[in-house]
Order: sequence, then structure tokens, then C-alpha cells
Amino acid sequence: MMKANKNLIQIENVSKKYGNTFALKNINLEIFEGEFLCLLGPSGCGKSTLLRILAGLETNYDGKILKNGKEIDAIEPGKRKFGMVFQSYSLFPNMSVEKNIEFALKAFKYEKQKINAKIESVLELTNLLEHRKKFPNQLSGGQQQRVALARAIAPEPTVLLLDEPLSALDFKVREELRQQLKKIQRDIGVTTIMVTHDQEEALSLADRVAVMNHAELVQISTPEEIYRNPKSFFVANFIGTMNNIYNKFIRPEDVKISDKKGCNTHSGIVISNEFRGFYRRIKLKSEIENEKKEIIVDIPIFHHQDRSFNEGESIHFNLPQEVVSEQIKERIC
Amino acid sequence: MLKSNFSLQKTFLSLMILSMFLFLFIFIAIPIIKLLLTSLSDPQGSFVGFENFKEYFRQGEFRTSLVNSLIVSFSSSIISITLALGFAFATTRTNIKFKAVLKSIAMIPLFAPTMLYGISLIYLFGNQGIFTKFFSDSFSIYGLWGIIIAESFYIFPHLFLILYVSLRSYDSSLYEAADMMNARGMKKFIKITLPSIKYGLITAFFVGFTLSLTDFGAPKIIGGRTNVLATEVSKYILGQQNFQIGAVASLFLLIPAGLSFFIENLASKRQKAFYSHGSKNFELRKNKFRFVFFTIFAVFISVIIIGFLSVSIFASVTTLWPYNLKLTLSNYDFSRFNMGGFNVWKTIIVALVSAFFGSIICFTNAYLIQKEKALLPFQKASRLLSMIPMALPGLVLGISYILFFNSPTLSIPFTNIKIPNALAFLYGTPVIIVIANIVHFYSVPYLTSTSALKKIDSNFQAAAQTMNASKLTVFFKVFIPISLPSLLEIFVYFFTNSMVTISAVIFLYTANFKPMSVAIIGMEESGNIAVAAALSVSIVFINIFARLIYIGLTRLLNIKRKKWDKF
Amino acid sequence: MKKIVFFIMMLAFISCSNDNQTLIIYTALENDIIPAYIDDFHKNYPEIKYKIVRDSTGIIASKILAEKDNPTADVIWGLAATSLIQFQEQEMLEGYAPKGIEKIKPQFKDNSATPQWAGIDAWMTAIVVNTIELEKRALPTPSSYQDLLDPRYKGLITMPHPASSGTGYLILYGIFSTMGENTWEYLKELDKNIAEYTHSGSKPATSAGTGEYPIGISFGFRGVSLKKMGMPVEVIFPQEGSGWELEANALIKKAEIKESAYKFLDWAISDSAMQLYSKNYAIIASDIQVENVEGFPVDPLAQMLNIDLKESAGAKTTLLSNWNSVLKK
Ligand SMILES: Nc1ncnc2c1ncn2[C@@H]1O[C@H](COP(=O)(O)OP(=O)(O)O)[C@@H](O)[C@H]1O
Ligand SMILES: [Mg+2]
Repeated sequence: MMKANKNLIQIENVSKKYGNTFALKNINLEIFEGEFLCLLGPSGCGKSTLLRILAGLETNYDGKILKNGKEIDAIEPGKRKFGMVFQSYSLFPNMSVEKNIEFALKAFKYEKQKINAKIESVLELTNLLEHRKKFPNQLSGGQQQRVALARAIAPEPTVLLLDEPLSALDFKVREELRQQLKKIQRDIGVTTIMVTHDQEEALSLADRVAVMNHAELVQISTPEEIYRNPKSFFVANFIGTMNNIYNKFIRPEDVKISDKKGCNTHSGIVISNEFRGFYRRIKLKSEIENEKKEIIVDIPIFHHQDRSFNEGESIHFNLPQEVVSEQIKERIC
Repeated sequence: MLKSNFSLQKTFLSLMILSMFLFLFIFIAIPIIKLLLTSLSDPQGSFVGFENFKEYFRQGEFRTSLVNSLIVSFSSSIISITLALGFAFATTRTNIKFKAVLKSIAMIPLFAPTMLYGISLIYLFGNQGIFTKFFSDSFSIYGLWGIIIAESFYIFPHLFLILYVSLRSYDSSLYEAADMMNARGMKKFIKITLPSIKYGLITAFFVGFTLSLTDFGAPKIIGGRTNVLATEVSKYILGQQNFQIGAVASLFLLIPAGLSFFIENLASKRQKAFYSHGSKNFELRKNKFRFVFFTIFAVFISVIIIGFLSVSIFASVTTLWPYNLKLTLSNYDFSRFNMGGFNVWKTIIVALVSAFFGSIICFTNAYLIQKEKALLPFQKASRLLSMIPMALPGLVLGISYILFFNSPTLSIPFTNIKIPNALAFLYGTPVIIVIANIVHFYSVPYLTSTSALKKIDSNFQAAAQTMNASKLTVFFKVFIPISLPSLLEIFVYFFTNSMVTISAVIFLYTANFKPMSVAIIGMEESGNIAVAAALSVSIVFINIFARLIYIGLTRLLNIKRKKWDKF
Repeated sequence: MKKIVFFIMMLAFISCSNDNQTLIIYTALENDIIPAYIDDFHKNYPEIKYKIVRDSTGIIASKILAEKDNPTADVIWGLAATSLIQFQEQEMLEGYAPKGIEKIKPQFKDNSATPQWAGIDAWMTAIVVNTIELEKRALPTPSSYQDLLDPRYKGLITMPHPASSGTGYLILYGIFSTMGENTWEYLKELDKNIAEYTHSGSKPATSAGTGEYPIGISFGFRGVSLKKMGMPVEVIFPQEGSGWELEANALIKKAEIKESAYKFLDWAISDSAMQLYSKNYAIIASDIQVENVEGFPVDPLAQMLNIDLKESAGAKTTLLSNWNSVLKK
């Protein structure tokens, strides 16, 4: 996916404290030119703080930020030429769409003749040409966020920083905008760092995902690698749902319902049954590891249509062969 | 490790925060400290410990005054809250007609110097009053009841505004839920409305309490033999020129006021949670009983307010009340009294200048406290200082200003060090009056600015910084335009109050300038009650005129902003 | 446009300040009579620029005291001598013998070698009664302090509070100097009839004028001027004699005393000024021949009690605390 492997930004041993608690702890991270990197983690883990440090908005931290091998810690935000988009859009409500963009261009001292052309081109890119005279208040959330994006990319930033840009939007709009964002990023090829707490968003957008927890970076890899080989239960559970059976991580969709008892077949009692659209999530109580072990099973909606999985019903299930530990095999077979 | 990107911008920001802090510290904290020191010194300025306090307890009418003050402040707050709540409810939650007009009428008492209520009360219920003959012989308006009625009047618009905002800004979904549960009328009001504006009520109570506690205009005119704390202060300072004991009495005035300020502060902190819920527009249901009841109530209150104003207008055009009721306009010929030293135009100019700088200082300071992070300890200190003026009686402010700004040197307590007072040059200039006005009325506009700023996205500055725009640019191009309606509101607030205030400026006015409001006192005292009424009425009309300009400008502004302003 | 408005506003604002040349006069003389006097000063000294700060005795005295370390005023004109004595004790005044000081009667000026203050007029306590209201109630007009004890006057009398008002103290001292130790017994009795102790000295008179409270113990000048305004009042000088107060002038002690200040003080006790004062006050401080003032006794000096102003000022603390303990409930 990555266009080039050239290292653009280097974060070295960055730590940040608020009072006595760490907001960031020894963060080391490289960002490659042209890539789309997602910072993923639960709320409060320090993602925004890291992004703000990159933007130059926080000045009081330990460690170094390098760009093309040069320290940029002492450079003011405006001089870094990093574009930034916030969850709350942060559009100036008293300026029309084009004035908002013009504001940014003027601040970067664009020549007058170029400003109009530039506005035109970013509006086209973000599909907003017809709304150029409107005020933020007259636009939907999705449109507003596109304006914010247009405003951020208009001055041709070297890095685009996005802090939960889609989190405030409705599900459908979010999906749509996700596609557009990806496309725009590819078209202009700008190095992009996006903060999100939504794993689905991270997995679908990013070239690489950096997972954070409790102020620390816990894993950084491609989405697939992260999904398939989480390094810790935290990552595993954060990226979707995960069963932990004898310290093996087993995805709920990998647990299969079986009709009859057999080798590697276990039994459990249904404690809940949720309809989730294209699948059904069932929680079981089983005695597989200890007496009260809960196991989560996702069943595609078209499977086992004849069964009802009522609460209290006893059912059988199989665990994937390759991940089942020796212990289980011995005990069952 | 601090990254060394100390730019010009940051230095400038820190300087601004520091100078705003210094402004508040010098003009709020130091005069209070000076007052405290005065209460502990003899007339020559040597430290005498608590001698003045002992002296005060021995000779003063401290205990009765304290009890009276508490009764007055408590009762007038309760009475006024009840009425203001009814009025606010009528103008927010019912279908009664002419709400805008009613709202404006509720504001009228704000436009008048307190003397006006005194004069009107005496004309209506005094021993020669228009209505007095309908009462029993033992009836007298002079005393506790007179003060309570006058104070209830005086604080009504303040409480109305607070409750109006509370009632309007809270989410209607609770009501809808209640409607579904079939709750009705009074039950709904007690179970849902009252709890939901709990903090508004607490704030209103303490604002009312503080205002009526510290006012000395009304008790002076209508108090009869009843002493309150505020008149004690004026007795010592104006009657005996005993600043030391006057300072002691002032400090007692500050204690309950200070206490209420802390509780009120607490309440307003909690209220924030309420305001932050987006408030939906209220679907008003038709309810005949409610309509009739509140129409009668609102009309009743309006008639009383307008009645009071009319009585003063009447007072100002009678030749010699109550013996010669021939109408005359001669009381409005102020040129007859040019030796009174007041000047209508200069009064307006000084009020305008106070309003202009007051709005700038207040808004900038609220912005720096609310939206910036550069010198946090100073920002916190400024926030605390900003709330103190609310509890500071004008009389105390005036005295402490005169004591502080007029000393050519300042001695540092408990040392022999004396430093020259760099600010002494301000004394005797109208600048000091402007500053006194700004400080005296600082807290409410500060809160207004703060709540206006809270509605503004806190990432604007960050966003702009990444766009290479300076904070100053964003302040002027974004924050100011967005807050323009609030700025206008603050401006008229400062203007109106500067027009009516007496207590602080009575000590500070200069040889070249005496405000109209101060002149009222002299006129009333020399028996020219009609002229005093004429001056009061003129001030009311100047303020109404200013209000009309304000409403006009707001309309214009709203048309312009309609496209982009949500509120 | 905005800038022009702002500029004009600032200019107008600056015009509210004082400049250094102007003579600053603090006075407690009545608003309505000042113009006539000051015109005469202006005629005599057209070149002197002056500004007058006028307020009630209490406020003017408080201002001067509070400004002690850095006085604004250059001269004091017509302020209660009791206050001036207080200033004198605090060494706030500068001695000066204005031209014609010898014409001022000895009891009406400071008798230091260089006098620190010189009187212009004296005013006396008086009982102001509303004739219409008394008639309505079929009550007799009181003619002495003793008369005021009549129980039929219950709730009809007001007097200034001696702790709040200079006039109030003057009344108290006047009573004290005629009744001596019986004062307190008398005041206790009087208290039963008093409706209100006011904070200002004029208030009892104005209340009597409007009929709010038909009898007010106040001072003669106020009563007479209310009568001139057309109020139905009678001014009664009590048989026991009246306490009195002097209104006097003084020079404020400060680093730079203006030449014009001396000129003003000279004028302020000049014959022409005294003639003008005499139109309003029954008693003027100098011994020149003037016409009698309507409404006042023919021989006003005889009505005045024999009071030493310095003694009166010295007794204040004791009398006030006695007052407090006697009248405290
Ligand atoms: N200005 C601040 N003062 C104190 N604590 C802060 C401040 N900003 C953030 N924090 C704390 O730092 C931690 C990380 O915050 P943040 O980076 O905003 O998290 P995220 O964006 O991952 O939700 C949180 O615990 C937050 O409470
Ligand atoms: Mg965040």
C-alpha cells in the first residue's frame, strides 16, 4: 500500500505528564511519507495529546520530534505546515465556506491570484463546489467536516492530522465520508495521521495502525496483522471481540455451533442471544476452563436458521482445531 | 523539559494575562486590603489591633442593624424571587401575549436610581401618600416593610433575568416526559420545574441577598427608625468622618456578602451542567387556566412597575407636593441648578466611556481566563477576583478607592517601608470614576462573557494556529464577531449601571464632573424632591433610550447574522 | 466614522478632568445660593479660573479628610466650623489672615495668632412645623424644646441623628448647653415622640414641609427657604435658645498654595460678599451693618446660645456615646 518507505516523521521517546499522571509514556514511532497512519485506542489513552504534540500545540513534553531528520520541537505550529482537522469541525461560523478556506490561505500568505484557484480546486476535490457561499450552520455535519478537510488541505500541508474527524457523524455519513477521505488522501498523497477510537474505521482506512493504551504504544502493524495477530489480549479485544481460552485468543466467529457431540466439541448453556443484523451474538456459559467460563459465539444469520437458541438451552460448539491447546484435546478426547 | 518555542506571540499573551490580572488585583484586591488595614489602625495610621472593633461593638447599633439587615435581605429576596419566578414563567412557559413588552417592563427598575423607589413609595404610602388614607392610622411605610418593598423592587429585574435564563435554557424533554406520564399543573411545576432550575434559584437568592444587603439608598429614605448595616457605614463615614470604624462596619457588610458569593459560586459551577444541555424550543400547549392566570399576574406586576415610574413622573411635574398639585415642567430645567455641578452630557459621556472600556476589559479578560493557557496561576487568580465585585458594596468600594488612590505613599503592613503610590495621579480625574464603574459592575458582564465564550468551540485557536494565523487575528476576526450580541449586552449593562449608580462615585466625583445620579441626593436633601424626581426620571428615560438603541442594533445585527448564527 | 466618534468621546471625557491652574473650592453652601455669591467673586477677579465641588457637609468633610495626604481642594468655603476644628487638630489647615479679618467677630473666627479659619455666617437650630397639618390635628404650635414633650406630638417629630449628621450633633449640644445633666432625661422623654432620627440635617425640615412628619427639628435656613418655596411651614426658634454652627473658610495645607487661593479667601469675607450672605443668613460673621432677614428673629444674636465651638467639638465623643447608651433599647 505504501508508496515509498521514506521516513518522514520520527517520534523519539516522547513523554508527557499532566500533574503526576502520564498522558504519554516513552512513545517511539516512525511515520512514512505518504502513508495513512491511524492512532487507535480507548478514550483518554493519549492519542489526541500525541497529535497535538505533532502539531506543535503542546510545548511542554520530553523527547523529540524529527521531520526529515531535523528536530522540529521549537518550531511554531503555523511554521510546521501541518494541516489539522478536529472532531468538532472548528469551522469559523461567521465565515462562509470559501472564506474559511481563504482565511487559511491568507494566513499562509498565499498570493492573491492563486487563492481563488486553490479554493476552487479543494472545493472540487471535496465535492463542495455548490456550497461555497454557505455558512457552516447551513451545512450538514458531514458537509461541515468536508469543509474542515478542505480548509486543512488547501495550504498543501506536508502532514495532515485528523483528530477523530468522523466520530461526531451519523453511522451512514461516517461510512460515506470514510470512503471520500481515503480517496482524497490517495489523490493528493499527503501523509496522514488520524486519531480514532473506532477499530473498524482504523482497520478500513489505515495503511498502518498504531494501537495505544494507558499512554503507551502497544502495537503497530498493518490492519490485517493487527487483527490476525494481536500481541496482547488488550489489542485483541479492542480490535473486535475476542475469547480468551487457556490464553489462546479465539474470535467469536471462529467458534462454530455443532449439532452433535464429537471430538473437540464442548457444551454450554445459552445466557444471552442478541440479534445484530447480519449475525447473531450468543453468550454461553461453559465449563471449558473453569465452571463459569463465558464464551462468545457469532453465528452468521443464514446459518442454523432452524434453531432458536433460547436462554437456558444447552448447545454444542467446536473450537478451531489449530488454536485449541493440548490441554483441551486431552481432556475431551 | 520546556521546548523553547517562546515566540513573540506567547510573550504577548503572557503579558496580556499578567496585565489583566494586575488590573483586577490593583483595582479590586488592593483597595480591600487597604480597607482592612484601615480597620486595624488609628486615624494617624498606626496599628492598633482590634481596638476599632471593640469600640464599634461598644457604641454601635451593631446587633440590631445586623438583625434588621438579615431580615430585610432575606425577606426581599424571597418576595422578589417568588414574583420574578412567576413573571419569568409567564414569559417563557405560557402562551400569554406581548411577551417582549412584558420583558422590557420587568427591566424598568434596573434603569432607575434607588432613590426613585423611595420617592415613589413615599408619594404612594408615606404619611401624606395617595393610598395612605385607606389604611389604618397605625400604618406606616417607614421602617422594615418600607425597606423590604423598596429592595424587592430594586432586585426584581436582576432575579427575573437569572430565572428567565434558567427557565429558558433547560431541556424541555423532561417536560415532554412528564406530559406522557400525565403529570399536571402544580404538580409538574413542583416536581419538575423547580428542581430543574434549582441552581438558578440559588443564584437568584444570593444575588438578591447581596444586592439588598449592600444598598443604602432605600433604607436611608424609607428606613424610618430602622437601622441596617449599610446605614451604619454611612453614619460613621459621612456623619462622623470616622473612617476607622466605618471600615470595621464595612467589613461586616462584606462577610455575609462574601459568604453568599462563595455559595453562589458553587451553585453556578453546578448550573453549568444544566446549561450545557442543548435546549430545545418549547412546545407550548394551550391551557386556558394557565393563560388567564398568568396574563392577570403579568399585567398586575407590570402595572405596579409602571405605576411606580408614573408616580415619579408625576412627582417630577408637580409644583409643590402635596399642597400645590399644579403641573409644571420647570423641575426639568436643570440649568437652574448648574451649581449642583452636574452635567447631563458629561454624565452620558462618562457612562459611555465606562461601558466602552468595561466591555473591552471584561470580555478580553473572560477570554484570557476561559480560552487560553499561558500563566495558569494568574488565570485562576483572575477568575477568583472577577467574582468579588458582586459582593462588594458600592459605598465600600468608593471609600476604599479614596483611601487607596489618594495616598501619595503606601506603607507595607508590619514594616516601615514606604513606597510611592504610582497610581495616585488617577485620583481626582474622571478615570477613577470610570474604573470604579467598571469594577463595581464587573461580575455580571464577566459571567455573561464567560457563558458566551463557552458556546464557542475551544479548538478555534488551535485550528488557527496550525493555519499560521495569529491569536490576535482569530480574536478579532472570529471571537469578537461571534460574541457581538453579548458584547452589546455587556455594553448597555455597564452604561445603564453607570448612569444610575450613586454609592461608589459619590466619593470620587471631581470638581469638573458630577454625575446626575449623585446630584439627586443633594436635591432630595434640600427639599427639592420634585427636582430629584425629575433627575431620576430623566435617567430612566436616557436608559430606556439606550435600551431602544440596543434593541434596534440587536435586530439589525440579527438580520445580518441570521445566515450563520444558531442562537 | 467610528474613529471620529471615539475621538470626540475621548475629548469630551478629558474635559471632565481638572487642570493645574484652576482654583479648587470645596463648599457645603447651598446649591441654589452659590451662583449669586460666586458671580461677585468673578466680577472682582475675572482672571481666576475656579471650580466648585459642592456637597453636603458630611460628604465634603469626608472627602477632605480622606484626601488628607494628597489634597485636591485649595480652599474650603462655608463648611461647618466643627469640621474645620477637626481638620485643624489633624494639622490639615494652613494659617492665613485674610484682608479684613479684624471685622469678623471674635467668637466667629479661630483665635490663633494667624487664624486657621474665619467664619462667614452662622445658622441656628430651629423647629420647623407644618401649619396645615397641625391645624388638621388641632394641635398647638410648639414654641420651646419643653413643648415638644407633649404626648399629643407622639410620632409627629423627626430630628437628625447626632451620629449621622452635623446638625443633629448641633441640636444635641445646644440642648446639652442649656439643660446640662438633665439633657438625658429630656432626650429619653423626647424619644417617645420621635418618629425618626434622620441621616441628614435638612430632612426633618423637608419632611415637615411636605407634611410627612409635621414637626422637624432642623436649622433655620432650611425652614425659611422651604417657606420661600411655598411650603406651609413656620420656623420656630425655641425659647431655650438655639444651638448654632458657624460656616467658615480655610486654606488647605499643601505643597503649592496658589496665589488665587489667598485672593479668594480675601474676597470671601469682604464686605461685598458679606452683604450677599446677609440676604440668606440671619447672622453673618462680620460686624458690618446689614438688613434683617425675613423669617428670623429681630435680634438673632440674642437667640444664639453661648457656645464655644472648640468645646463643642471636644465634647463630641462623650456626648455621642452617652446618647447611645441612653437611647439604646
Ligand atoms: N489539559 C489537560 N490537563 C490535564 N489533563 C489532561 C489535559 N489534556 C488531556 N489530559 C489527560 O491526558 C490524558 C490523555 O488525553 P487525550 O490525549 O485527550 O486522550 P484521547 O485523545 O486518547 O482520548 C487523559 O487522561 C486526559 O484526562
Ligand atoms: Mg481525543
